[in-house]
Amino acid sequence: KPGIYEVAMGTPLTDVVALAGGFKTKVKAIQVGGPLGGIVPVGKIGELTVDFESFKKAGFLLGHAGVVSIPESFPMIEYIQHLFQFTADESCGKCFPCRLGSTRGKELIAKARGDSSYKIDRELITDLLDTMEQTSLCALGGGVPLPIKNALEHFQTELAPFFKA
Amino acid sequence: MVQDLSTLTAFIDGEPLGFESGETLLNFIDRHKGRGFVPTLCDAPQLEPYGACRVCSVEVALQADGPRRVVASCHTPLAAGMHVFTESPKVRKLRKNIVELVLTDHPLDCLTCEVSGNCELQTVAAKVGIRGVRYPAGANHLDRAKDHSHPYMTSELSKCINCSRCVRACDEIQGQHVLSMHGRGFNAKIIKGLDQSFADSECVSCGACAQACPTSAISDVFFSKSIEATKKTRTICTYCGVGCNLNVSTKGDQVLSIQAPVDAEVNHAHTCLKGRFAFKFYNHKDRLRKPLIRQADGSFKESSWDEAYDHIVANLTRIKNEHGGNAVAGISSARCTNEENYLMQKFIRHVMGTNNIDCCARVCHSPTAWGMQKSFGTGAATNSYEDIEHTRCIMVIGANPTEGHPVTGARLKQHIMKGTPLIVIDPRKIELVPYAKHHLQLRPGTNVALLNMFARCILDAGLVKTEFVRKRCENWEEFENGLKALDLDELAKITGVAVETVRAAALEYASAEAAMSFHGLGVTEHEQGAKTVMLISNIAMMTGNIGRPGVGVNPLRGQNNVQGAADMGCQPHQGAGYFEMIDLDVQKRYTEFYGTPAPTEPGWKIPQMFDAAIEGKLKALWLMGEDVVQTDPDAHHVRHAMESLEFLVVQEIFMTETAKYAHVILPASSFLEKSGTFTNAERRVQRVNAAVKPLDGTKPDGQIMCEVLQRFGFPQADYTPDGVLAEIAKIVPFFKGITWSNLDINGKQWPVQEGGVDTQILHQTEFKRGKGHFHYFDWKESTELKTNGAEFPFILTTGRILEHYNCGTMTRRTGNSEIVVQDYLSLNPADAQRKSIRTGDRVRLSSARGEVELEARVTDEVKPGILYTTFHFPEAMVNNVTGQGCDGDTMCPEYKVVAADVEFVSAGKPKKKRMMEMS
Repeated sequence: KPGIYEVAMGTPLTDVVALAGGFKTKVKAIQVGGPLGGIVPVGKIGELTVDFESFKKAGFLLGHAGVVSIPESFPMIEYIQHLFQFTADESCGKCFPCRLGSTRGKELIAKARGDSSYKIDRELITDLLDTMEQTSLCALGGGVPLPIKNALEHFQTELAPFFKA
Repeated sequence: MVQDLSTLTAFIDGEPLGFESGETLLNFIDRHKGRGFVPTLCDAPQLEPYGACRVCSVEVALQADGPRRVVASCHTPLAAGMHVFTESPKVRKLRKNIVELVLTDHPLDCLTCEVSGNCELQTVAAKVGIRGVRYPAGANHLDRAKDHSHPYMTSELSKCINCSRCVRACDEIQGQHVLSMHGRGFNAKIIKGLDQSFADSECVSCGACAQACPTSAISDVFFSKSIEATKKTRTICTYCGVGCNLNVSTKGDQVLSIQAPVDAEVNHAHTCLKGRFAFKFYNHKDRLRKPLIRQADGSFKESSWDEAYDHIVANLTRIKNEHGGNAVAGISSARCTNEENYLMQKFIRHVMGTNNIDCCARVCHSPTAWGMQKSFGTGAATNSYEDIEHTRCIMVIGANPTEGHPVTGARLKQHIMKGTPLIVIDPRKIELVPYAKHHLQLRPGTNVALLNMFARCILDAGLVKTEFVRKRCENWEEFENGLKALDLDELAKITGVAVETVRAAALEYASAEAAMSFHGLGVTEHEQGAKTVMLISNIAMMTGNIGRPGVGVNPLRGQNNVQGAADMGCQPHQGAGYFEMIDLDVQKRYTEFYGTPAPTEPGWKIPQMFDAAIEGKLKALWLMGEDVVQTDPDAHHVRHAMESLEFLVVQEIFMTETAKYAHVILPASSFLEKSGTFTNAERRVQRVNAAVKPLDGTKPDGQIMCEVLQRFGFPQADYTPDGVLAEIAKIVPFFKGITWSNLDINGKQWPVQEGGVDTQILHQTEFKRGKGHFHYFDWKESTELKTNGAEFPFILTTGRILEHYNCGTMTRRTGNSEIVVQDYLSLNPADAQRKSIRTGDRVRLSSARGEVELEARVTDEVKPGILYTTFHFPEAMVNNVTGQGCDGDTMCPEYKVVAADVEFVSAGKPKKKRMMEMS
């Protein structure tokens, strides 16, 4: 039952999922707070309540609290590429880290997906995400590293084939 | 650690340092640690902070060991007690990562790049320690085409790093808004105009973008950012009276390029296409390289300098002996240095023994010098360019600063765009008019009528600063009574400007906290020129706009050293330092100083010299760098005068229209080859330093004058700029505290007291003459119009354009001639329709003196009945039609009012784009 649900601050996130009628298919994660919000693996949903502190403490972001579900069948690497693509599409182009970083991030992921011999250097992607996060002029370039970092942390096994050991 | 946060102290890497209120972190770091200590790609000292590249990121904390945050230092304001960490491992890594990203979309062809060695990207990449790019090859913009469409500006946007410096330079410095960032995100790109080429865009080629660009993405045909040069010489531009500082790059005796120094107080990293690009005349094949002596058959024969000097000495001595010193005259040049002008008048006065010395200030701002002396006691700008920053109302009268004084024009435009109200009093819709709050588009020749209306409206509104008038001024009653007797409706008919329009502007000016007026030759080159200047002075005095920041009467002097030429005594009535030559004490002073008697009889002004030559009273004339045939009005008359002379000496760099009449031509050196000083329109005496040695066969004018003085037996030392300047400082009181060394890089504004204290604002506590003097004058119709107006129903007014300088001797021999190729005649669409004339047609412009053919430009920039043209090209010889009318007080020619007529000759197409654009 996708829709808008009003709950009191502090309501368990599980209750919100239930309010909306649960998941239609098997889901591996939800992204809460829009495209720059955190990616919460299903296993962590139970630990969160709908308030800023709870999300922040767990390394996510409540943001506007919109919830997008990522099905089990949807490759997380493709989701990361989508996040970079979204940022590249929306980037105004003024600040260098966002203008260049979003496109280079997207290309790194695409190359790793398309070329099985190419593995992404972990230091490089970390440098890229840190740089965008800390030096971008606005919250677009500064925000997208959070969900990507969440995905890298919580879906290490799934993503491992794309990265250098 | 306990800190007193009320003081302006902050910390750089733990070191407590003072900061200035309003500083950004980067300003603070730059000031203490030097520019470049923290790298940046998008910040430039001449531009506002922008915050795009993020390379200047630093960490900040409120306590030494408190939580840190990464910020871009260029646009983060500093607060007391803030700790700034410039070199933490974290920020080092972040900077390196950003620069690495930049290099993913930049051609790695440094070794063959024109700016290699002077590329800010290269420097920053080295500083942050980039060793390679780790990203796989991706999308890029390396295939962008080069733009070589323009005579000066170039672009190669594959090298662009999207820092927007060029866009900001175009907006914040020039105010032309030609460059912009098109699109967004990764594909955002720099475009010119509506994504055109440089040549097709409305670029005015000031070059500010090229200088601001950190790479070679935008550059110029002279590769001004390359490290090819082996020497850089700081000097002063020789074009207009703004006095821009230039950095001239040379290699051996070749001038490679010119840039504008960032630390120049006059021009702050800016200059125009004349100063930056129009230097190629200096070694043009047409340069005179040998003295020439006219032979019996009228031809010129090359000679040695000795032969030329001997010939001169023999002839001038003979003429002086036969006819007396008053049969000799000299015209010096406002394009030459103070030292050269000084030596020239010394030669004419103390060797030839006559006051017949004048200079081209006669034909431009002599009414300003004379009028302001009458009103205030000093014939020079009361304030400085810096005052533009403090004024609350700008009034531009009879001047077109964006074309004639481009750097001051751009500075004015910047302030006007930010909201300072502008009043334009001009018969034409000049470039500033769309930005003006008030445009009083008067009929040429009615300045006095209009300004009388202006003053009367201030009086009627009760906005006279009576306290200032009572304490500081005199003769107010005469002016007040004159104003009260005016019939405003009658004057409105005369000027063509409604009373209410004038009133609105007058109230704007009079009620502003600080109002500043600028005027040009549209004020002076009239029959009532000096009277108009005095009227402008009256208006400043009655509103208390004198003697403080942001106010004053500020002539935009035409030539680089027109202020200086008059200061040095190149006027028939006043010697060096503005001493009246008829005064016996003055004569005594000069006689004692020079050891030869000072002349006692009044000398001739330039137009009187021409008349005297024709009458046979003037036998010999010496011209230093002045093309009177092309530039003085009524060229037929001037030619006749030149032909009548027994002996004409011309010191020149090219064979000008005037030099063709000479008996001896001495090949002089250009400003790039000489040292001395120029004095700009804000009384700033600045050092001119030779960038290259004189072209073979030529000599700097100062050296020529010294050698001539020596040849005539005058005990004159050899020329050195510091030596002559020291002599000037002894005789000219307002130069007293000036020495060659204390002028340093930014010069000094006279009067300069002993010890070197200079003066930005004149008349602060009292006027130079004691009390400011009010004068009242009735408007009078120009004699030219009264005499010839019936037969020649149009009024022609003349002026100049950005690309060319006066008779174009220099600019026509540079790339500027590819941008504008000819003079053209502007006329109103209504007149054009009546006369069946279209833009591009050949038309005949005629007056009581003669006629010329020009290309027509139909434009509403002039009102019906008014014509406008420039006088840059000898092919057109516009001065064949201008007349001998002149200012009643100073004999400054009336270039701005000519009774004329125009008729269609043949159909044509406009030659150049810029002319189509303007129409």
